[in-house]
Amino acid sequence: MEKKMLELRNLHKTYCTKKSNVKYDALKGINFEADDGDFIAIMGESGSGKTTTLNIIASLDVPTSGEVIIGGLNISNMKKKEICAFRREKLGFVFQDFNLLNYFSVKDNIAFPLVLLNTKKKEIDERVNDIAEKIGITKLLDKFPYEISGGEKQRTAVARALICNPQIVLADEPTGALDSNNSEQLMELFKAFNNWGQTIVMVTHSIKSASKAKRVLFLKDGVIGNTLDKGEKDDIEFEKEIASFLYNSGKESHYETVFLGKNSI
Amino acid sequence: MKQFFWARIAFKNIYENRKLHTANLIVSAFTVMTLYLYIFMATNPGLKNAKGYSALVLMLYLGCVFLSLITLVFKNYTNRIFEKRRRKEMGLYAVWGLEPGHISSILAYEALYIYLASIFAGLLVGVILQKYIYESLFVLMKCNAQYETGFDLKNVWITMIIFFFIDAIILLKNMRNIRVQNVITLLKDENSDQVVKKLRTSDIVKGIIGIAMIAGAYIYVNVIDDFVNSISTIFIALVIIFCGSYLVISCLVIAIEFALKKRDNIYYKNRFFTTIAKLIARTGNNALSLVVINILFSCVAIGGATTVSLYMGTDRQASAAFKVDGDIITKQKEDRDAVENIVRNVASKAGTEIEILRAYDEYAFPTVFDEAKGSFSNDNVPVRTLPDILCFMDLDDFNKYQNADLSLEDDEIFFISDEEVSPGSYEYIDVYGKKMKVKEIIDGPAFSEIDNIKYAYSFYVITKDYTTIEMIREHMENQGVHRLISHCVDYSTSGSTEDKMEVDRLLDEELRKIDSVNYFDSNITQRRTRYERNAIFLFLGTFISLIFVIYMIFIMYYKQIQEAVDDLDNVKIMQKIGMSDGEIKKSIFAESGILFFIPIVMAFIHVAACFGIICDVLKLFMLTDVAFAGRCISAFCIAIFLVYVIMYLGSCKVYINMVLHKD
Repeated sequence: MEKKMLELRNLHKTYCTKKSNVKYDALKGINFEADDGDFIAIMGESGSGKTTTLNIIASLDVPTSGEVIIGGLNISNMKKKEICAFRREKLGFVFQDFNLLNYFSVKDNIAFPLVLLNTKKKEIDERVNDIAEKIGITKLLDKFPYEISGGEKQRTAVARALICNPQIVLADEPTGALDSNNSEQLMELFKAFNNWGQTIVMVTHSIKSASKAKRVLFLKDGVIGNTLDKGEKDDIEFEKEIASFLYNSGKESHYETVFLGKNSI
Repeated sequence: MKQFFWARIAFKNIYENRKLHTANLIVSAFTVMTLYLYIFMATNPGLKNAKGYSALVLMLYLGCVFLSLITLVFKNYTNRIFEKRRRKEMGLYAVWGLEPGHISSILAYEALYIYLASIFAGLLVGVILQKYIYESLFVLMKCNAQYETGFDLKNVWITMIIFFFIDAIILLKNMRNIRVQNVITLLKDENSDQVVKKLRTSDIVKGIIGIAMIAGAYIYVNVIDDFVNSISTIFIALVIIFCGSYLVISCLVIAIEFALKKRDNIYYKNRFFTTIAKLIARTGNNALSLVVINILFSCVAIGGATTVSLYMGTDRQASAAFKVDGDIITKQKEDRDAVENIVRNVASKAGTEIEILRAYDEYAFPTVFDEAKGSFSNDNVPVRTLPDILCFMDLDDFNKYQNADLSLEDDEIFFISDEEVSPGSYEYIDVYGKKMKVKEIIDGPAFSEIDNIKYAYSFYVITKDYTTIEMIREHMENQGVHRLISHCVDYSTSGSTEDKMEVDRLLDEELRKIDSVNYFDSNITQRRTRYERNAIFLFLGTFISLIFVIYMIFIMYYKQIQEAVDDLDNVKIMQKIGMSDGEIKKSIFAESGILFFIPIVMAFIHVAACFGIICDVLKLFMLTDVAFAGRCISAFCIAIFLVYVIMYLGSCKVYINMVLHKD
């Protein structure tokens, strides 16, 4: 039996506007599990709750109710200080807009999580050089973020996400700011790390990017509508399957909106 | 209709940016109030009751000019920070289709609102406070004066016109910038060009040059012996100190930060990592502001401490002005005895005892002494920077004055020189062609200096009798030197300050009866005039120091808000990576702390290094007690340091609230 790396149990999130006190349910009971070494893509339209789900897994946001269990630990009950320690030790992040600190060199950006963990300088050097070599950014280590291209920035962000050997890498639209060539290269990188056993949860709008995952979850109106498993299919077949699914659900959504008068978010 | 629209947009802009505009308004209103009070005091008829009325009015008007100039400089500088922040907003106006003229209208309305609000608030507070400030000032001056005028519209107009010109200059500059810059430049993120400074060898060289400039200026101001004639070069030295400070902050401090970055055992520690990296970026971007803070703080510390020390030490200055209680000079030798009798009678009338009463004759005139030849003549080439003064005194008076028992033969003299000359250097000295046989070169009192500050080089010739002095005077008359022999009476009495005031008053009355008395001064008169003058200095110094402090706070507050806005995204990234709020707070306190305290520490070093010269300035005003001046300066520096610490803690709180979204 495979080890469970991530479990989301009946996750709800309600936002309330400050002035008018209007409530809005972003998540209405999300349930899913990810095994160790899984690669999950979360897709859905804007406002479907993708980023909220990812933020709650990342402990950047707290659920209104429900539980998030990562590596057997229920992070919903953790105190703020424990959450910070947990985040820096167990999680890695890749964001659409790279989130690199401009006053750090590429090397220091990658080393940042290790410094927060009070790692010895020798070990920092070894691990940074190792990951930079794997990702192919060794030559960029002394440069600053504003001196490198978007693709190189995202590679740096991936290196930073992986430097601590996290239990899960969380990626929020990682290819959103990249051209097709860089997007392809980045997803190949994700795939390679997943093949080496890295668990990845990725939110994306891109069918091509999602096709690299082992499983795709489709969120709609705050709940998981459908799930597609890659199984033995190759990337192109899986891409077609996702596209076909979205086309059909899009038609359905259009039909519901136009003929049945339902609102599609 | 259109104008009404721009006026509304301008009002809305001010309201939306009220946080920044409130700070701007407070500073402007305070400056308006100060200028109004200066003008009010200068034009107030009550000031005529003071002894040195015209000098005091001149000081106040000079204060007004100085205040107007520094207001223009400060407003211009803070406007630069403000304008930089609003470039994007101006660019958006242009994108929406507003012409430069329209944007200028909005800016003009904004300036008008701020001008009217600050003028109204400043004048209102000024008018409310004027009576209390007036009375406080006259208490400080130890003068009895009734509050004489209420509200004078002329003062209000003058204040309004001065500030109108200052604000108009800044507005015109902003309008010009809008016309000159293109939309793309305006829309560009102000931080998009900002890169992390890289350390170059030239930075280290510049930093070392900065240190050398500061050290050189320190050494110069501490070795000059001729303070009065070196004032212009001292000013240049101060400018060099501030230029050196800029080089040190912009280059050397960053070089030190880079050196820390290179030390793996320091940089790659959790608590230093972000602090050092951010400091390298922030110090480079803020170098100019830090130097401005450094200059402001140094000025406040030196200017404020000097005026406080002067006022606190007024009694000391008055007693340092004369070694005795008073000094009377008559033109007629025969009236010397009459003056002595008056002093005795007055002391007795006032119920005091005479402690010192000595009379002497003195004939003195400026000349040039040639050391090599031992000759005094106007034809000699001056080699000293201060004037030479030759004084004649007869032996009888000198013996009494110095409690000595010296004797001279006919045609012999004793010679006292301010310049070091070895005994036996001159067999004769030549005074404008008249040879005088030197019996001995002796030590005498230091007549021409206040403490160790010289205002002249004095040379004394002690003659056998008064007749010789008269002969010398006649000889000098023939040489074109028309000076009278002064017949001086020094006195001191026992009793309290009140008793001495009574002696002073009675003497003033009695001496008026003797026509030949042409000079009367005393410690009591000195005390009164010094209290009046020092109180005005304190009044001017306090308000100008307050304005400097307020601008210092204002610049730091603006900078902190600006930095916090720029740092917002970085803090979010740090939080996502796993940095706790506590670690972020520590990092902000550390980096802001270093940035805040670099200029202050440098300012304290400047004050400590220039302590000698500050004391020399104080000595010019007869405050010769160095220890007392040191205590005053230290106390003042500690007080403003505490204000600065509160300001640092407050601005860190604002920063943290902004970046951690607790605002």
